[in-house]
Amino acid sequence: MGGEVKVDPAFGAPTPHLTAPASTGVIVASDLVKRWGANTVLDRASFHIGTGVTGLLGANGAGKTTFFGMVLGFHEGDGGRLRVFGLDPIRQGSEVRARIGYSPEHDALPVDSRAHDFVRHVAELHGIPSREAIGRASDALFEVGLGEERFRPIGTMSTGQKQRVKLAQAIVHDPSLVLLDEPTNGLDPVQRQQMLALIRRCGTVLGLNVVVSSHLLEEVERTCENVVILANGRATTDAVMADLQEKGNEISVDLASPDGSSAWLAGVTSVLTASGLEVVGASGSVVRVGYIDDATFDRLRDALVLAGAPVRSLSRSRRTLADAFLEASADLAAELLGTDR
Amino acid sequence: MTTGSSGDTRIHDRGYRHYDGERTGSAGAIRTTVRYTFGRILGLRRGARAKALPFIVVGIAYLPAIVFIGIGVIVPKQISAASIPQVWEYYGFVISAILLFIAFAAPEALCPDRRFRVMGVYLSSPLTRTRYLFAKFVAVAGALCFVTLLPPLLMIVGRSLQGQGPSSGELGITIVRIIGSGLMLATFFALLALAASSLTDRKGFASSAIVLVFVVGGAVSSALFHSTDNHNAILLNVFTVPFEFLRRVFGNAGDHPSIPTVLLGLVLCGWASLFASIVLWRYRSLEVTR
Repeated sequence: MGGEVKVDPAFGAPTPHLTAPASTGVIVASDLVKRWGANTVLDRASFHIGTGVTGLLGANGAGKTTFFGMVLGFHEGDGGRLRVFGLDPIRQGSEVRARIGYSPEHDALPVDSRAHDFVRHVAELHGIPSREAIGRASDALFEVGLGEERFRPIGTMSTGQKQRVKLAQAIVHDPSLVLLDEPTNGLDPVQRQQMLALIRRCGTVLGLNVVVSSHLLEEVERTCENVVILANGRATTDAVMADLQEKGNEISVDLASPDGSSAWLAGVTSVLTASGLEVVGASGSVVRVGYIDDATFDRLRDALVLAGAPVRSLSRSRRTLADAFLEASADLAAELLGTDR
Repeated sequence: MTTGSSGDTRIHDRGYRHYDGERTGSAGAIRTTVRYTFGRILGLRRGARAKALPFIVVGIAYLPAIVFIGIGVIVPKQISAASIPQVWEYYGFVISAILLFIAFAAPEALCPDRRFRVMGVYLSSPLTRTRYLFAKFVAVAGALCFVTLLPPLLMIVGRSLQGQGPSSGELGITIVRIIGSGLMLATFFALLALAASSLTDRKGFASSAIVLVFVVGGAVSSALFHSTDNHNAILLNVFTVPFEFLRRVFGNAGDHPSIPTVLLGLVLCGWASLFASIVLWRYRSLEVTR
């Protein structure tokens, strides 16, 4: 990540590929508020979305689709500030949308059109000249694995193929940002894996900035480099996935206690603490120690020898996105209730 | 991209790639929407069933022109200029084709986009709602010109080439009048069709609504006219008003000469404004993502 957000001086000019600094991001939301009637969907949400593949995670109704609508300039916020490529999506909507590829959550395809005709049409909608659009539509459909099916009416395609057409129309015009709203909806496990692989490829091989909204933790964990978690209208987490997983990693040690007493375990943990290790928890015969780097293993080994504690097994447990999600939700709940966790 | 060549042999390295060329902007987006919608209305690049109705209707609209030109070719001496219909009379032959086209082909422009929820894809492009509707209007009006403008134009040009049309002095002004009135009909009925189509996402319902406006509007205005003997009652019939105005354009007093031409024009504009307002109102609040 790095570089500078390049803003076209005039709409209709060539749009060089976007590079955005991490400090600003492709999308920056500050204290964003959006209400639908009495329902506050986004409540002072602040986060930034940088380059690469970002997962927008949240339960159903968390405001993911609403946020996409705001990025596209469909909905005006009730408070706060939203910038996309440094532009205001309400006042400069056409410039912003020209550089975005969008795949809605639901089927948004004319069933009686051929896939190639529709994808070509979307390319032209985003400013690609007609002759170029014909070739790009074929290329995009080949890219998503529908090369041989590209002249079939969309209505005759399977759900998986339709999702691929939606992806093709979102990337055909070489957008600076691709918004994919629940792209694996209705797919079977095999199709889902294929779609996730395609999304990863969009970010890594094709070099597109992609935001994937999903309520499925595992999908985001496997596909995305960054994650924004929306819960109760707030962005509770806004982080690089690797950092999030690294943070809170632990080493679990199963000890062969001579008498099974809690006093013995307490003695062992005090030795570990005295050796500079962070004891995260201890119950039964298992002690959990915070992982900092690989040298932690050496320090742990030495401390266990010092304590005279026989070891049955030792393993490093990786923190999952589910842990982060639950932690973030609990943090927010505690904040809202005004209590400490 | 050609990566190498030797004689006539070329290796094309295709595949997804970045695009750094010029973009056509919102004008390009409007152009492609017009072209795509125009094709949909006429059933182009779709199955035979989608093509059947628009092509049959367009055929019906041209049939009288072809017949009159044909008669002029086969028996040029026996046919007098008086037996050839005036331009405004030509619409009497093709009004059913115009109605069929408005009712059954024009809803194709708007209804499927909402039914299949493609609006989100359109509005995530440089198109705004107004530009989108403008493009749809141009496409529908353009397609309607196939039945409102080109058939009488064909007849006049054909007859003139046979030496049986208007005198050379009048030919120019006649063609201008045909183009003006054809565009007026296309504009008016395009707005009517879009207004009906904006109220439902089902083409069948939109078609029924248009036929209903034709039947009920005609019945109500006719009943009022006969019961009150007030010619102004026909102003309620959205199908009579444009054709009555069209006759004035060609210097004919029409069936209701007591109605001033200015009033006819104002009512015509009033109806058109109402139809446009309905479309804009419906699309202003249309939700596309939720």
